[in-house]
Amino acid sequence: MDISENERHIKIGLEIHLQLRHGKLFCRCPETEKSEIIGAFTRRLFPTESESGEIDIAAILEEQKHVTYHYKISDNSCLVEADEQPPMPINMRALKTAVGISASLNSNILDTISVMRKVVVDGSNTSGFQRTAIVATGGSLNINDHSVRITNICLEEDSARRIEGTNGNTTFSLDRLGIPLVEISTEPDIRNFEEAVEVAREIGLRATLTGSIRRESDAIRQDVNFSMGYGRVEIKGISKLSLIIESLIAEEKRQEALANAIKIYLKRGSAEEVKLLDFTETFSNSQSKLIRKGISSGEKIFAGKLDLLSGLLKSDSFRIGKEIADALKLFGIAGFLHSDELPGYGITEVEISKMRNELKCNNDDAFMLISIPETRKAVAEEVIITRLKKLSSLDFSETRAALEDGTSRYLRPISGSGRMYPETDLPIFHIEDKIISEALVNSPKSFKDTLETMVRKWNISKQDAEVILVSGRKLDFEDLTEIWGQPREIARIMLQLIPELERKHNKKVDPDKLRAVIKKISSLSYGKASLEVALDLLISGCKYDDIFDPEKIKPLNEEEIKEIIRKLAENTELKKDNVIALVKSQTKRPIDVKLIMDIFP
Amino acid sequence: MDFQRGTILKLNYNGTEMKVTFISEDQGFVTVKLNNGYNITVRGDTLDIIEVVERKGEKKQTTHYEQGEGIPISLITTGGTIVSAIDYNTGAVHPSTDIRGIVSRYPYMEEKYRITVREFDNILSENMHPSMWVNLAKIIKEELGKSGGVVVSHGTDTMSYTASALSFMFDGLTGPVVMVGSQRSSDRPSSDSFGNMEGAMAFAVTDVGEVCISMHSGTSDDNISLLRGTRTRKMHSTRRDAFRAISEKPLATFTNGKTEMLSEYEKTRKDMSLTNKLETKVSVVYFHPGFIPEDIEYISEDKKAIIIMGTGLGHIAKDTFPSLKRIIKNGTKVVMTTQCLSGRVDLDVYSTGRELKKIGVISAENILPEVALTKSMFLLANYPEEEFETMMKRNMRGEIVERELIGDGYQ
Repeated sequence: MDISENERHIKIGLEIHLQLRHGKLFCRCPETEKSEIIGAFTRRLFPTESESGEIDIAAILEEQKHVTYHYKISDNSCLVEADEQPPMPINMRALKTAVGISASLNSNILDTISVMRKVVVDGSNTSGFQRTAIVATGGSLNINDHSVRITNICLEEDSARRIEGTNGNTTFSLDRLGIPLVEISTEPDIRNFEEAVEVAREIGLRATLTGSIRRESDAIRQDVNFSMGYGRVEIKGISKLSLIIESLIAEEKRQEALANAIKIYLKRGSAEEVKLLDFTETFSNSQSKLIRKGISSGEKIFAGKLDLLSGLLKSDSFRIGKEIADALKLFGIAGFLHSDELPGYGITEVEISKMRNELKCNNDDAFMLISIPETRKAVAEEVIITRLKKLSSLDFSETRAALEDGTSRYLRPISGSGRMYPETDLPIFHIEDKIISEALVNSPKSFKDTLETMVRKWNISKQDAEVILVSGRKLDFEDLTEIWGQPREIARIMLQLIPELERKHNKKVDPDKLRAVIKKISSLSYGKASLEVALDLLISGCKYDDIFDPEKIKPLNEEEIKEIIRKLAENTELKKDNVIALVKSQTKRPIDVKLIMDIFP
Repeated sequence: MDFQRGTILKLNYNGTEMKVTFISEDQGFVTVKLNNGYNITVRGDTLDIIEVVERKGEKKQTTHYEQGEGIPISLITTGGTIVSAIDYNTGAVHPSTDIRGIVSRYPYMEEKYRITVREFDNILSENMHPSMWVNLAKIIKEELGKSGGVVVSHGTDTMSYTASALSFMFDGLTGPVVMVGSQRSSDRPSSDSFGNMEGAMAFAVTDVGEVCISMHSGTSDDNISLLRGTRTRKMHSTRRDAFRAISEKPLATFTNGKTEMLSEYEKTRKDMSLTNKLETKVSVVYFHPGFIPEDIEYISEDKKAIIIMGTGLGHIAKDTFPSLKRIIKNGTKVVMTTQCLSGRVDLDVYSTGRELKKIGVISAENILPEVALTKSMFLLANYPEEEFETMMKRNMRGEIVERELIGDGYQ
């Protein structure tokens, strides 16, 4: 698949994943955990055949790693997340949100939902598969007068959160498992890196307008599909919009350098196998710390000739060494030394020339040195030659994991359609026409439209409406306004008062308790001044029941204010500009300022 | 839209041209598989077929596995979730998988054991019938003549019934008979089949001369329990660790490739004896407040015995006593067990119990209700009628726990 410069053109597609609120997708657990881990269990996973009798290549690769998976049980998980109970019927609010977002992107909503199992045996799903369903197909988005087509919109369950992984053991938390995700994937219509960011931003914003997207920092994740002529590379899990461009630049550079290195390699010939020979004897007195550490922990030192790879493993921009190292790492093999970086790491010239001789290395040949248990030798040989052969085909297609520094690392081959089969625990589900027609009416058409509707409906300032919408808090605002009845007051409480109080007490407010306090004060008809005091008490960490002590929050009535003013007037001269402060100084209870001014003669 | 499953179609849906694989049609709705593997189900009239590209062949054959060289074990399959896979035509799960696919997940097992597979039946275990227990027992006997141990794969719903029935029919075994099932079907990567089977094979080469059950001890995959066939019950509809020994410890556990014995058990013997006759005219009655007294007479008609699941110590309402008297007078045995499952029936503590005893109701001690059923079937077919009560109260196969200990089984 050799391509010349002028044939090359870049294709970019996106997959945007958005976590939804309103509970998990296939059980009735909340999406947010409240306390510590409440238990743990361990499992193994085995790849299984698909409908067509094939086992997915990525799944086979995963099994060979022989990993034991450990799961920490969070309090927002039940038997469903533990794979101890079949899924419950789909979360209707999540489905409605997905339908709404689909309508907003002019995507064709399907008549039915067929939930599929996407085999994922890296432990991130306790079941060994991710449940996913297409909600809508097609649609488009206009960016800079350029149409970017939507492929599909799916509703799926989020995976378990990886906590840590060491050789043969990986630990996950169940807190994230099962949170509904809307996945919006585009065709590779995006023309350049900047446009990719714009498309991602627009899709994210459009979905946020529904008010049903979670507000956590990792609630929106992007996957980028990139190709420049060497096959499709999928970079998974870019958490910030700002990293999209960096990731793409890094990937373009990587592929360019890799293609150049491989072309030189192919000109020289190519390798058929990699054989690792036991050099433990040779290195028994080595001064290298790495080698000594390996030997003392019972590992063997193996050396192997890497045909025709001299200078291509690590020099100038060539990094085939890292490509091999990434692949080995997936199989729990931590790393290796190679001739492009030697002498170094305590390996002497004498040892190097001994190896070159015994391995019968020619000028173009490189060699490697690796410390592993004897039992891992065959796996290492297989992994290295497989990786080299794949790269030699100049087909770089694969799935890579995005890293925080903008680069990425090899994760697995691109999974085929062989990894999908139907979720037989759930019957095919017809989407009622009512849900679709509701979605068509309520779905956000554009930011401008939604903003105008919001301002008109609630009579709040455009600026407040904008902040509420962009921060994804439309539903919270509407819910609280419904309870309190005063949209402007709620906007002020949400956007000014609460952030101020959170800063003052250096604590975050619990949204459920916030709602409960507003409801309670509303039912007591205490008014705005009391609510403000109550919220201050809540966020300060005051015990919930103590907040409603009348001594603290019951507003003074007209009689009580009159009495205070009368007493004050006995000793003090009351004026319009000091009366409020003076009255306030006489009580801890909230006072409606307007009432004082009405009473003060 | 009449295509063979697997036919590749080029079609137009909502203005998008796509290549799909035909899966099925049901009441005007067509299910097709997209290139990315997703199935979508849409109204047939919204699909505009442009071209029928090709017809795809059937599913690939499963690989054939060579027999190992090690200890001979017979694996008898009866069906159930453990051999279940998706039927892609109906979308439902039913028994179909090749059992060797499960064994081969642990390649070492193929070397360690010489496993012979014998298919007995392929049913979901709610369809199991006592006549099949009798036939199964014969086959187990045959297989024990050739192997060191027998593993029986079985649906979990009635696995403990089968295990207890087999327990009574065999008086002494030349090798372990280990029943195994799964709560997650074997076509799922997370299936418990593989671990349960690994444990079953390990238990099948011990010297346990009893019919037992091999299932997960907990929700984790790292511990498999060997449970006595006459003291075990499925206590959860979906969990991996659904099977629990009631009022006793498991006989053994299997962890990290090692078997550890936890309790006393019958050792294997040189000879075995099979009495494979069962009386099927036995039923179980679950008492509840509002129970209609005559109902117990209807169900007892033409029965040799009925097992009552009474409340607490083994009680049922006074208004049923006249019916009970008539039933017993007609020669039907009435056996009392407790709905509490754990703990003993005691007909001496309350006046209700004493009255029941006077009427002729037989206490099943702490025999589990389902086990009292299979034991009655066995006793009625093989012992003189007058020995029924004595034998019911005699501990034959570990079905009665002589000493219930604090901390055993009941938590």
